[in-house]
Amino acid sequence: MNNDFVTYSKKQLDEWAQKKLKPLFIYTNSEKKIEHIIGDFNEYGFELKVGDSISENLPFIDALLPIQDDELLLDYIQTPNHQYASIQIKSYLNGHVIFITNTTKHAHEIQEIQQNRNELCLAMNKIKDLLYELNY
Amino acid sequence: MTLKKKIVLIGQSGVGKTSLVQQYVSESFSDNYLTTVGVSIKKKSLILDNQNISLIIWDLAGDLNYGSTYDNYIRGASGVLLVADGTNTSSVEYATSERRINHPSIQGIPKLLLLNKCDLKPEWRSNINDTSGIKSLLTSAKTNENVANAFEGLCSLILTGQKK
Ligand SMILES: Nc1nc2c(ncn2[C@@H]2O[C@H](COP(=O)(O)OP(=O)(O)OP(=O)(O)O)[C@@H](O)[C@H]2O)c(=O)[nH]1
Ligand SMILES: [Mg+2]
Repeated sequence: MNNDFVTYSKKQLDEWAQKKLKPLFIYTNSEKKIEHIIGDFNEYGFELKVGDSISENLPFIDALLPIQDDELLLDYIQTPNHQYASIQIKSYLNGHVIFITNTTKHAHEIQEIQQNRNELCLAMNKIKDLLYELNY
Repeated sequence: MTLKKKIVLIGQSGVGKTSLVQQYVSESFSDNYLTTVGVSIKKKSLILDNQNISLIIWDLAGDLNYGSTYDNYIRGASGVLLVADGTNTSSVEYATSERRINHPSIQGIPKLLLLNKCDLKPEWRSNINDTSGIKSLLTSAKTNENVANAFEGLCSLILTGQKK
């Protein structure tokens, strides 16, 4: 693998690690086998080693491959152990480079706001429909 | 050979998208509401017309107005389940609105409209008015009515479209 790329990736991982985003870097080849893996994958509820197949071990990522454009970025995606991750995938050579960071904390904040709003919305709709019924 | 097909569920918050997927994939249902953040992706294998299919189901949050764009999530889908809640008229308008049905990323691909929560039929409003012309199905994630038919019906439409 290109050295600049590895250097850049390591630097990126360090930065993310400092932000406690539990970064994970995976490089898979054309057969979707892992060739490189750096980071703390236990955080995400799976165990991986070089040579493992993405199809067998990470179905939620396998579902995204091959990507359709050069790059795919998903901000909140649920992982097998109910954490949330931001996933960035790039095509590289014949395989894929996958960056994962943990966005659980932020996702939970969004969830709380969203949940309140949606429950309110559901109640409002119900009231609206009941009013409609009353009038007709 | 196994065909891998991505389908997406689109619809207002609380209409039952996650519940439909959960019923279809795990055969379970919960009355508790826990809103989806971002996207939850589930996989289901099935055989239809002697064809092995690996269905990749993208269950999108009803409100996707933060983070990566909606477009990023729906791109590459082979079919769409537009989900509405029969007890909530505005959700039908939401699911069948022009900007959802004719979004450039999903234009021309098979779509099914699901009027969910049909177990609550007595509560259904008389003013549901769907003029979208999209094929629709009454479903209940709670009683499992038409749940498999919804997913497999969409798959059939996808396969039929492919043969053409
Ligand atoms: N009676 C009845 N309740 C349902 C049905 N489907 C879902 N519900 C309930 O409706 C609520 C919302 O369901 P969800 O599946 O979380 O809705 P959603 O569309 O995924 O919502 P978001 O993730 O916020 O977009 C929950 O309390 C479910 O138990 C159904 O068919 N019948
Ligand atoms: Mg949901």
